[in-house]
Amino acid sequence: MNDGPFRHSVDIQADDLRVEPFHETRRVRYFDCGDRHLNDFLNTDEVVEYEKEYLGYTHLVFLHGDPVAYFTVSLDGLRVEYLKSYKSFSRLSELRLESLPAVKIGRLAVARAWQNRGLGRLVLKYIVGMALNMGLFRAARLLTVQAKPGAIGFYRKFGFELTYETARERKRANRTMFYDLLYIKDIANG
Amino acid sequence: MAYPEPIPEIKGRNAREFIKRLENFQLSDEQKELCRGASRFYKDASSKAGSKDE
Repeated sequence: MNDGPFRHSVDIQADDLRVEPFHETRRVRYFDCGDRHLNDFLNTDEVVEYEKEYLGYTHLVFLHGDPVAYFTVSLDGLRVEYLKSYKSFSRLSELRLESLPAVKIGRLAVARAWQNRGLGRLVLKYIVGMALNMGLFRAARLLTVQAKPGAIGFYRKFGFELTYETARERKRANRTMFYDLLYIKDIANG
Repeated sequence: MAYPEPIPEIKGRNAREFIKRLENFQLSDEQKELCRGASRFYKDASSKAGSKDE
């Protein structure tokens, strides 16, 4: 998230934000966050395809009516092989789980003009609230994200932890991070 | 179209260490402050959706 050439200088108030599910009939004309893949997702039909294929649920974030950020979430699971055999982790192993249900942040992008002003943090806060409140997600234990190297610090600042490096991740730059919704539910609901 | 990457499996020693990390999951006071009131923020920002402020 780099400073854009037209960085705004006004403070962002949480009360000024509103978040809407993406609708094909209300497309964003132009979005620039400085990342071509994230831009293309919203500026092309890719976002529509995701919706149609039920691959992700995209939300647009508006500030005074202008689209300033977006995010995509989907349901996922962090598959922890052999968890059930670990006697030392009695609480979870008693449940004989093979994976932990999760809400995955597939994309999170802030428009260049609004970067480094705390907007990403507010969007993340919204996603935490969403994960705890939407009936569909009620069973999710974790928020997960496959963070790009440049975004790991951002998620860490919020409290996300790295999982351990898997064989697949050793071949890629992105790292899987998690956030325990059970731990924060009382704080978030307070 | 790029389909979303699934979250990978975590195996063996990595899985054991991940669960230990999950069980020790903690936030600093500052991090707690970041998520404080997230539920209300979600409801407030969503309830304004569709309002005519453009």
